[in-house]
Amino acid sequence: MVINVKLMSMFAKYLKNNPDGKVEVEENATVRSLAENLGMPVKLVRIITVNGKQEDLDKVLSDGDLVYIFPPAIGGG
Amino acid sequence: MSNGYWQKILRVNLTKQESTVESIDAKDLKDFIGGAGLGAEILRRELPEKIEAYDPRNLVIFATGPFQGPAVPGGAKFSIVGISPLTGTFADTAAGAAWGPALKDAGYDVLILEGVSEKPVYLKIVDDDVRIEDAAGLWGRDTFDTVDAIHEQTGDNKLSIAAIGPAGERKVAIACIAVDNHSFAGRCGLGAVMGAKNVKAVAVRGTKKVEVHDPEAARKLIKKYQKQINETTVENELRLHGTPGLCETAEGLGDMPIKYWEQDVWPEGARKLGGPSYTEGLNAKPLPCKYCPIGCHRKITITEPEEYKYEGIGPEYETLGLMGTNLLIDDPKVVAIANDLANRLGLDTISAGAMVGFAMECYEKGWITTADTDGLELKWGDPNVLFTLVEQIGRREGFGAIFADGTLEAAGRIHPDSVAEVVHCKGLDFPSHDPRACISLAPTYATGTRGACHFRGPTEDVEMGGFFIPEVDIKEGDVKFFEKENQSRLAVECQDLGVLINSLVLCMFMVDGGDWSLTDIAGMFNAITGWDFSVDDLMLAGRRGFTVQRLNNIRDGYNKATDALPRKMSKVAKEGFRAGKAIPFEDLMEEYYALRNWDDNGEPTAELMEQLGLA
Repeated sequence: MVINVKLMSMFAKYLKNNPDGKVEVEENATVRSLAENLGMPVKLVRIITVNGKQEDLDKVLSDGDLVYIFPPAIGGG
Repeated sequence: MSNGYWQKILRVNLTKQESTVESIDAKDLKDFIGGAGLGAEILRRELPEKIEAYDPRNLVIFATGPFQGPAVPGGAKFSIVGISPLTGTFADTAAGAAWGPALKDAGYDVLILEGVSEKPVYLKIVDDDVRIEDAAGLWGRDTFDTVDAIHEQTGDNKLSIAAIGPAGERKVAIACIAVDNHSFAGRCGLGAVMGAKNVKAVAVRGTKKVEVHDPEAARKLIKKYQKQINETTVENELRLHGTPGLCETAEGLGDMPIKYWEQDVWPEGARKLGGPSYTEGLNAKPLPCKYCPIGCHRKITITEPEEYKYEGIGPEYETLGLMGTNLLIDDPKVVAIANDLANRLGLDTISAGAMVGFAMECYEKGWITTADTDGLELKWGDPNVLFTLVEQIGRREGFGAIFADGTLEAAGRIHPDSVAEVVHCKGLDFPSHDPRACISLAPTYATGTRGACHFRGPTEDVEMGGFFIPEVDIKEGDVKFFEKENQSRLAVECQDLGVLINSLVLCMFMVDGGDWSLTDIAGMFNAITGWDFSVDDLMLAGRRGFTVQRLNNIRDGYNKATDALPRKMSKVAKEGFRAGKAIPFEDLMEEYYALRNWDDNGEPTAELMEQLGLA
């Protein structure tokens, strides 16, 4: 199945070769397995939204989901 | 003493043109630590009644703490405290570069300016040699030129210099104080108070080293934490992208101001303005303050287009918000040029951007016309409008002069209906964080002792997963977006933390970004002071400082009725992350008041005063 992925701020580089953000994943993939497959540092993943709703790393994904993954929000000064 | 303090105040009376040295009681240092907490207490004791910001009795207090002696990571900071011309009450503003350690090395913890000089002067302080020098030749110069000119005139390049620009001289209420050409005590207009006192700059150098309790332990801890904080911020890329790295994340979570807080989303704009796009397009490199393992400030080089060619310091996240998305400007090069202009004029870039956004909205609504602006069309997204208005505001000239006493005052002159559209608390324009996205900011802004400030209570970074404070039971998952639980507690703890950090004085990014824990900070504090403070003791000092700041606010006429948010914060988003969400303001404030132990008028109860030893 295909997931629409938006990686924010410092995470953008993990989709560098895939600018439209369409990522093929296995059935029953989670946000965690998606992030790991993209080579992302999972321990730095903070806020996740799936179709606009806040979720966690263990959220099981469905075909066509829109996933946003945010790094730690630092530097608000 | 060997506790990281000289226990000395240098007081300069500008009216009498003389200086004296006073001692500070050790109890005051244990109670308030230094910086913004101690400064607030000095202001409370020395100003028993409300006064205007430009009254000669107003003070400009430059205060350090125990972290300015040894090379503590993030310790090259100091606070400036006084009555603000924008808010009419207590203000503290902090800067970095090398000035704080320089004052400490000269043998003082605190410098107080009082009275008014008859003619323009600057101070030159080298250890015990305190001089009030003629500044006639400096008056009118921009902040950067002033620093260069003082270095040249004195032949002393090692002086660290805090200077005002034309905006401060002309008492523009959002005038900042620029330090060593790359750090800015930005908010609340204390640069205008320096200008009213006819003080162009304070130049300091010292050759002394304050003694600390356990130098060997302090040295080891400094080495350990320099490395640890550096590694953390290399990994989370605060070092690589600086604060601009936040833009896309903040916009994605509904936290950035767009079109003067009217538009809900603008992902494309935020992506272009922030890191990594900023880092690449502006060739940005870290620019550290003294003793800093992070280097969040940016040194940038713009090679094209021709009209924006530039080499120097680059804008921060806050400026990208207020001078970027806030104005529907998506080019970081444009913001960089406006940022440089504001820095040289000596203007707070947050309030300056807010003013331009407010003017654009008033123009759109017909409250301002080209008849008011000498023909300038105040259109959203137009770089020329930004450049022109920043220049006019900074010089108090042309149409921009209407903003010289702050956005609220300008609104009163522009149109009666525009007053309610100003986005501020206590007269201080909002920074680049939206309480409709991070609702813990609602009580934080409404009660902020210097007005709307995210950095005297960085709750938004906790809500957005940036850092946590396990020692005071603020852990990951304790607050959830738009849910009330724990939000007011987060506001209280972060405000107390904000005062503590600005009392030590420490850069907040060591904690918020560098993950330096309060437990480890207490260890550092004890190695320096020998006082054996627990984390609770430190946080209590933060709470005491916050309460004294509040007492200054109360003296100046603020109370429960003024603990409010502007009208636009009731407007619910139609799209984006915060679509359909309203701030449960009444509930948050009720809980906040109970946690603070304030009475129905917003004043600290007798019980609280007793607990804090302030009765």
